[in-house]
Amino acid sequence: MKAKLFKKATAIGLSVLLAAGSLTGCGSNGASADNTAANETVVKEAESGTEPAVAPEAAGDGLVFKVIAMNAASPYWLSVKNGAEKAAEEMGSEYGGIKIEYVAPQEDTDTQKQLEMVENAISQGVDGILIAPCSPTVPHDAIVEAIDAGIKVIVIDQYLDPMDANGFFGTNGVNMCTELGEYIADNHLDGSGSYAEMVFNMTSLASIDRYNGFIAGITGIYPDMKDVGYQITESDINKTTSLVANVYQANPDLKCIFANNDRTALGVLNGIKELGIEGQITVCAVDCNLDLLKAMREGTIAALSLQMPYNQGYEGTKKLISLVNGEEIEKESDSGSFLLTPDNMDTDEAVAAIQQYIDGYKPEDSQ
Amino acid sequence: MLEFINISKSFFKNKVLDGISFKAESGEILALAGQNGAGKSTLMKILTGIYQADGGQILIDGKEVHFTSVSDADAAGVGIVYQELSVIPHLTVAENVVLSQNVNRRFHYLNKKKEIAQTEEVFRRLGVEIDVTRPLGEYTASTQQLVEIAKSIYKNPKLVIFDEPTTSLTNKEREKLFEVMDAMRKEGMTILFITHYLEEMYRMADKCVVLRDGRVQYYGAMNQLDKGELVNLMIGQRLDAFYPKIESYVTEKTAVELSGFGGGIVAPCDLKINYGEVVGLAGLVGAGRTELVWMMIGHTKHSYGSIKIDGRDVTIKDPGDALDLGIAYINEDRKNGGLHTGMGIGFNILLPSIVKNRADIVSSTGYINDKEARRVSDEMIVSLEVKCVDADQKVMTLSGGNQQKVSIAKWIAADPQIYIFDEPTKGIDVLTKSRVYDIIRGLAKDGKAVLVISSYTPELIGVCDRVEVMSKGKIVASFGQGVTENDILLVQ
Amino acid sequence: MNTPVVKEKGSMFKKVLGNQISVVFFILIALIIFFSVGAKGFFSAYNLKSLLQQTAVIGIITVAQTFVIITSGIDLSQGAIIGLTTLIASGMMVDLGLPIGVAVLAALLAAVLVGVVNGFFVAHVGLPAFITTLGTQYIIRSIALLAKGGNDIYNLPPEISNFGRGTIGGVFPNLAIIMIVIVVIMHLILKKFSFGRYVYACGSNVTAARFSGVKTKKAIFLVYVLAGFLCGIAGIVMMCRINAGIAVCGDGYEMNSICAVVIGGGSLFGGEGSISGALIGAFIMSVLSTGLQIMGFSTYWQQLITGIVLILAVMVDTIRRRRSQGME
Repeated sequence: MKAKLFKKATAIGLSVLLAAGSLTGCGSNGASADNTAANETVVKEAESGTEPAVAPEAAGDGLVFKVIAMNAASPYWLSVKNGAEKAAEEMGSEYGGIKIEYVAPQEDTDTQKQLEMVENAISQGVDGILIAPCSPTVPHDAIVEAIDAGIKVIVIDQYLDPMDANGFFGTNGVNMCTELGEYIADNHLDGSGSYAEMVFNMTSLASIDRYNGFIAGITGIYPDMKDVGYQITESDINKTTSLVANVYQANPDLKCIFANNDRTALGVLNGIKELGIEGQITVCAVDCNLDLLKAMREGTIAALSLQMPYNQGYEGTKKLISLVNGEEIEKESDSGSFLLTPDNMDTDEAVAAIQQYIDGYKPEDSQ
Repeated sequence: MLEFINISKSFFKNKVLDGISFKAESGEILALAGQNGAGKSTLMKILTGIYQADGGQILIDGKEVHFTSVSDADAAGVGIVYQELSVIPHLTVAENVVLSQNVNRRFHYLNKKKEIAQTEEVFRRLGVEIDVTRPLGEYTASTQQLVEIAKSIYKNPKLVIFDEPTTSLTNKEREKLFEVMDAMRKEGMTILFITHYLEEMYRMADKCVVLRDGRVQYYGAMNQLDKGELVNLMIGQRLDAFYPKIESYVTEKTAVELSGFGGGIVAPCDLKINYGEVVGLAGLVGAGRTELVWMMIGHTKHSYGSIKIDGRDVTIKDPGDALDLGIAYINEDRKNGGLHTGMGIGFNILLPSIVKNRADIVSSTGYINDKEARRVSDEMIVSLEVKCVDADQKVMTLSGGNQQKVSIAKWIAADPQIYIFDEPTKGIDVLTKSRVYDIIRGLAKDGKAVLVISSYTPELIGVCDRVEVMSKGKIVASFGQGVTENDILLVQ
Repeated sequence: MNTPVVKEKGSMFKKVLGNQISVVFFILIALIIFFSVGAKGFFSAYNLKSLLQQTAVIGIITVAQTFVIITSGIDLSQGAIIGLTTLIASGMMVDLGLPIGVAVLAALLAAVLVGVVNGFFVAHVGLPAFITTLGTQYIIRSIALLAKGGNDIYNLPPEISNFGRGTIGGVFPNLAIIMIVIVVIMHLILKKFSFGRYVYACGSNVTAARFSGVKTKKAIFLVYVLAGFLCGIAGIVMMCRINAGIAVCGDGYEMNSICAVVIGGGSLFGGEGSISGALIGAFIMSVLSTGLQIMGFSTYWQQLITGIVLILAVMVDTIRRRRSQGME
């Protein structure tokens, strides 16, 4: 009877192993990390004990890039991944295939998890890392370690502080939202009433920069207009809906709400619809999706600042490839932004910008 | 109507039933006697389709049957009334009875009127008057048990097994039960009656089958079997006296003194227990005995009066305080209040000793000496003859009698001065009962003060120096040696 | 006549596979071997050190959760306590300029206070642990967010990150050592001291425990206070890891500690569980996460596989449990 239990436990253990093994088969495609030359799996006793034992593969045997996003749920990062995979596909043949591995913590507040991901990438010995940091400082030391170990690191979307990676490629959130704020002030406000900000958190620089930028934009034109302050939404649509109701109750003279990401914007729209105050409030936001575009057509959203997530992935990967080749790149470059308004939303430029988020978008899709 | 022919069953290398053969006729009550582990429950599980026999045949009305599931047995007309009640308190009596029938039929529409009529019919057959439209939860446990019986009668079984039905019943309720069983017998049903109480067997059964070690030791008329012989066949040895001889060890020193002590349903009571004395507390269920004792040990709060231990006034806020003062309470409810059934025997035995910081096991910092602890629990296991593999065996796997031994052992190990036994022989077999009586008298000999609550008057008479009787919350009488059951019954 | 205690000469298998700890240990070793072979870079000094550091925070709160779950309770406020602790400690150092020792002590005190609140409501008032600790989770999280308006605290004294990345003898991470010390001490308390017995007694059957003389309210209260304290330490460890005070960090970590305890043989019904089993459970989860990442799996696959392993481990535990009961 004990023998039976042992057999059962072995069977279960083996099936776990087999399951994981077979999943490996369908999980990896293209060149896998099968490099015997650089394959040092021996436990090494390094001086500081922090050096990884595995060196990245030599070029020509296939490259592995880790894309470490801020969270596993937002479609923004999937656009980044798509861009990265496209670049990998285009350039891959020269290098024996480039594999893009995509990881992210469940929530963008789990800075420790993201730190782990950088450390694991170092253990794995990848060739390059494309990372959008959840926090400007938490992954810093690990990124430096990675670079010391010969891994190329490009930081996208949000700043690392201090910027000790090989390169930064992201939107200047401050400028982007200042432009947005100015546009709104010019076209929709007259200095009376108040405005509020819905931010997804106060941890990541992206969120903080956009917030600061927007306020700068408004106050540049109407310095005396009342700012009722920010609310933290944690990118939760339901939560944001409730927060809108609270803010409006407290400030009946509310004229404008700024949402600094797509989820937050959706929550704001819901909130306004529930309160029935669509006409009274000017809504503007960062990022886009089909629902937000439809709302723009209907007139409930005044303007959207669009980033270039696809480009961040695409160009970011190309920069990594250049670095692997030993070429120099610009240390810091702006991935660009586009101010989308109801007036320009059907122009070719606008459509291209929207396609950064929604692959194959056509103006008919949002009608 | 029922015949077992050469039934055998083994679990791995353990032969539990060996060549069981006997018959039970219609309109007959057959008592199935035997110690725990003799094979009674295994045989019943085979008859109700839970187990399958390895060899032999079962005939019902002359035809061989093979039960592979409980529903097979059910369909063949075999019913069983368990000790454990399965009651849905907020549904009515009728709904409870009917629900138990419809378990397998998912979309069966329950016609309320028909439900009520059919249920009332069943109770009529049993000779029981009951309002079937009241929620079952409003009735007492013994009435709920009658409902259990109704559930099995509803299906019109040919044979009904009663598994230790009187354990939780008062005398009056037991009488009612016997009336019902008699009614069923008159209707022509076959009844297999399992009980530990010998008097009940003699009272109700026509025939008797005695099992021991998986074999039939006797099969014949009940009244042709001498009581001593019955016990002999059951336990394989001669038990000269069921109750130990009473020598008085009573001292002058008072251990517990209650003055005007009471609360809740218990009126202010006076009670004194001396060292070396065994005092019995008789009374009906609901008379307030357990309630009184729970206040003594601090499990519930008392409203008036005082309690003195060793002549000093004490405040007991919880059973922990009681233990500190040297009072042990052996709970009536083993499963829920007396034992940690999911833990090992050793864990259970050692707990009060650890709480009391028994010096040889627990250091001043609370560190437990595992070796010494193990020695103590092994000692207790041997001295109380707990049948087990080792001290790590989980208590839930022990028989009722062995569980009771553990629940007593744990207190002996803590070396208290005062023992309170609440229904100490409930649901345990004959041999263990006798052993418990020996233990109780042994404690008195060691100079301990003992209080025994029991609803089984003969055992109080047989074990105690003195019997107090409680009725409706008051102590109404006190009897010394030589009291009869009748005396006590009259006063209750 | 005495019935001798029958000592069955149990087979080795019974000893080894008779308890969940051995089973999960076997699973852990199997996983480590599997990843060492299949994931280049897994079996390296750097990665093993990484693993220890990565498991430190979860490992410590898993120890706390073990105590709580054995009493048939649950502590959902663990993650919130971690966040609060990092914030208080950081705030004291950065905003108030207090010495590190004082800041750490103040943060630990706050964590203990949360434990006291939890313990009071669960043990003395008698509220269900699930609701109570869920309530404290929300309250503590909100307090942490209100304290700095949701902002994070950076620019901690360099000693913090140095300690966080530091090692003993160049090999063993400081943070892992803290975890190991806590594990060893708590394991001893649970198994070898009377308090541990009271914990099991309360969880297995609180009524029987009370009747046996155990001061059940006191014991359960202390369990939650201890849990709060340990989560406070976990919070300090977290702060050393991320070198910041972030109110929302640790969010959801209690789910992982509950998983770990259950994988290790703990029962949500109480009365069962062990620290060694739970710790192995915590390592199984972090080994899986790291190993799969190094093999190149995306986050979505990791979640799936971790879920499967959790179910398998609990299945094995349930089967084993049923077997041992059916044996008699």
